[in-house]
Amino acid sequence: MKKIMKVLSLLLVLVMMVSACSNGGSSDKATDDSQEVVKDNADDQDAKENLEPIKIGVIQPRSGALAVSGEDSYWGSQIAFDLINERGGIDGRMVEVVSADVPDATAAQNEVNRLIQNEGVKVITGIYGSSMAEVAGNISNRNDVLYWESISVTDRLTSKGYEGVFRIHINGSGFGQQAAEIAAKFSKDIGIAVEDIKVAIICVNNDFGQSVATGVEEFANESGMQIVLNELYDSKSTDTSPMVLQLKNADPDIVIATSYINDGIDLTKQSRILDFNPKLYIGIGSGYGLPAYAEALGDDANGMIDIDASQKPVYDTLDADLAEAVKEFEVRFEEERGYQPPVVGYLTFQAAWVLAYEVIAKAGGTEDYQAMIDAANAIDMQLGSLPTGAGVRFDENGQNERALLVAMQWQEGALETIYPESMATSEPIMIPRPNWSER
Amino acid sequence: MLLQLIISGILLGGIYALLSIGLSLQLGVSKFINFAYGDFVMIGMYSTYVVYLAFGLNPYLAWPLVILMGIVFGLIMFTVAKRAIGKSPINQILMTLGFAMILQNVVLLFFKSDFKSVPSDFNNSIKISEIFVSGNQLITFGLALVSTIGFLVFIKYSNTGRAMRAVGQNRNASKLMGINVPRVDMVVFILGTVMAMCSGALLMTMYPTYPTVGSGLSIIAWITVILGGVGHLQGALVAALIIGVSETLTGYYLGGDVRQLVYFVIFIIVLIVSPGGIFNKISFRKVKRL
Repeated sequence: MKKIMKVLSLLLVLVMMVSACSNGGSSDKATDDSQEVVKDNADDQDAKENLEPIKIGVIQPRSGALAVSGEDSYWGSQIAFDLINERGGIDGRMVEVVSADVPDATAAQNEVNRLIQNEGVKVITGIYGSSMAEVAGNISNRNDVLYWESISVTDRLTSKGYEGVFRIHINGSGFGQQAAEIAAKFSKDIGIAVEDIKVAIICVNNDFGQSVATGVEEFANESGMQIVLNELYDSKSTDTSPMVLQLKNADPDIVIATSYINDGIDLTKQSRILDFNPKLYIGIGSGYGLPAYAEALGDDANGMIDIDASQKPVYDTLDADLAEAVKEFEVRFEEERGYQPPVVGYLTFQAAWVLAYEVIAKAGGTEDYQAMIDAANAIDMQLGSLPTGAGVRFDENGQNERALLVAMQWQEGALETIYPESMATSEPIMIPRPNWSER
Repeated sequence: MLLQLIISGILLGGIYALLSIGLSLQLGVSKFINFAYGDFVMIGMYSTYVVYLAFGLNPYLAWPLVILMGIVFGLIMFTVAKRAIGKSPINQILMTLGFAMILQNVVLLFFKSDFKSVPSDFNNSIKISEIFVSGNQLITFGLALVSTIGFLVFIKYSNTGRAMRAVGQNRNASKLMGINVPRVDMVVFILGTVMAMCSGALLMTMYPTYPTVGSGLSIIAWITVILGGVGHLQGALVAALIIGVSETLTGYYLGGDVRQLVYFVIFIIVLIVSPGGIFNKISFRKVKRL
């Protein structure tokens, strides 16, 4: 018996060692069958450079709680690179997508290191999840690998002065600023001068919420708006009635709220129950834009404004080739996922496109880190160049100054774009908001 | 304002009380440590959602079906759980943590991580003098009171209830006295599970559900039960009200980010002063049973 136990224990230890060594997520190759997978670029570099595939790392949470959006984000990048390969790749070289599943910050640590050390990627793009983005940015920077952020908005990513970290989407405080600008614009429409506006800021207590709050504060202070309430709250609260009571007490004209889905729904419900009627209610964050919001609230969702990147591309302002690619992307995305691309799909798609054609192509490949950085810094695309309506121009910290947000509004169960006019799909309704009792 | 906060807090406490009845039962009678309790509630929420999808019934009408589903689900869980009842607490903790992981991931597999919700007809605003409440909150509070009183009556006057009290007081003596202890365990487990699922159904009228909603609910249920005294049903009700009111008061006066901090602090203070919970004077020996 003792001998059997010893053998079993030894077997168990061996199995654990084997599984530990092979642990570390999957590695998907691009769907183009005609690629060659080459492990050792360095030796044959000069001779074979023209035929070598370009490895690009794609990190997304493809499992775990963020998996739904993570998968959507992943397919945005994958389809983009597939389309690029079908159009001849980057200067004739095919793109090889090396993907890694990164559901949390710990996995980010392990996987990004693996991509850099074992797979030899020189460019990594990601990710739906601010905590993972920060880790990825740190590690990439340490290893002279370009980090190309498509989605995450944490301010911290582009405030450390890392030369090789670029974010094509907006950052948290940018979100806050644009939201406040849009709020001021709508207030003007209902006859309130900017300096008479009383604004209440209420945000989730995490990096995203705090960055947005900072952005709104800055705009408010510059433009003369009065801030009557500026509160952070715990997004996991079961019940948001104390927050709504605080809001009621402060009596603001505009509320700018940053929430996740559960608290977003509850804040709106409690606003109804406690009869809280601001003239404008502007939501930021997934709390106000997901279909689940309208499902949970029914007609009560009507009139809620959500500020986010646009998910209805305006094809006319795009370059013809890109417009065609976007249409093809939408078809393939729907085949793959069963629904039309959400915002994150467009964000990763356009980020991949710019990365391939404006950075890697202009730098002649991914081997020269500095050349890629210089190419990125030289980009000057006007607003309207990308499907979400954004342009590209990076500041000294790698943050895109021309990222664009639009204002959307729930109207009869559909999220319509109401601002800017050039991208609007519908007229705004309920501005100012009617009292709950009058609905 | 203060009155509104207190009323909102009491109604919130009603929700918490309903949430914790099932756990109080399982803990008090069978001494079964169930760390998957919140996930049983989650299953109740998803069951309500499925009933809504299949028959279009709102949660208040779906109750009988949810109870049936709860009995079936409880029976299934019991076939595994019974091996740990009466045995080492560590086994129970590990087993129920395993349950929690399995339940969460099975639900994630079938329903994805999207938030699901069910529309409710009573989400209106009722104004009573200066106070605003919603229909849902009142109904839930009412049901919490009714269930607690119902249980107390059942436990005091029925034979099964008396058997449950006996098993709760002294398991071995009950066996010696001829009480069918395994059967009592089964009844208690299923009853606890059904209560969990019904509270899930009621929660669906107010909140959306998602696979990991259980962990937050577990914590609230546990704190309510321990604060009120393990096995003490009325204690759990009072503790729930205290937690509800402290949450709303601190949320308003101290800010939204410390509201949960305060009731954890209350929890720790009470445990230091009276380890058996609020309803036990400083007694380290016997905890008052049901």
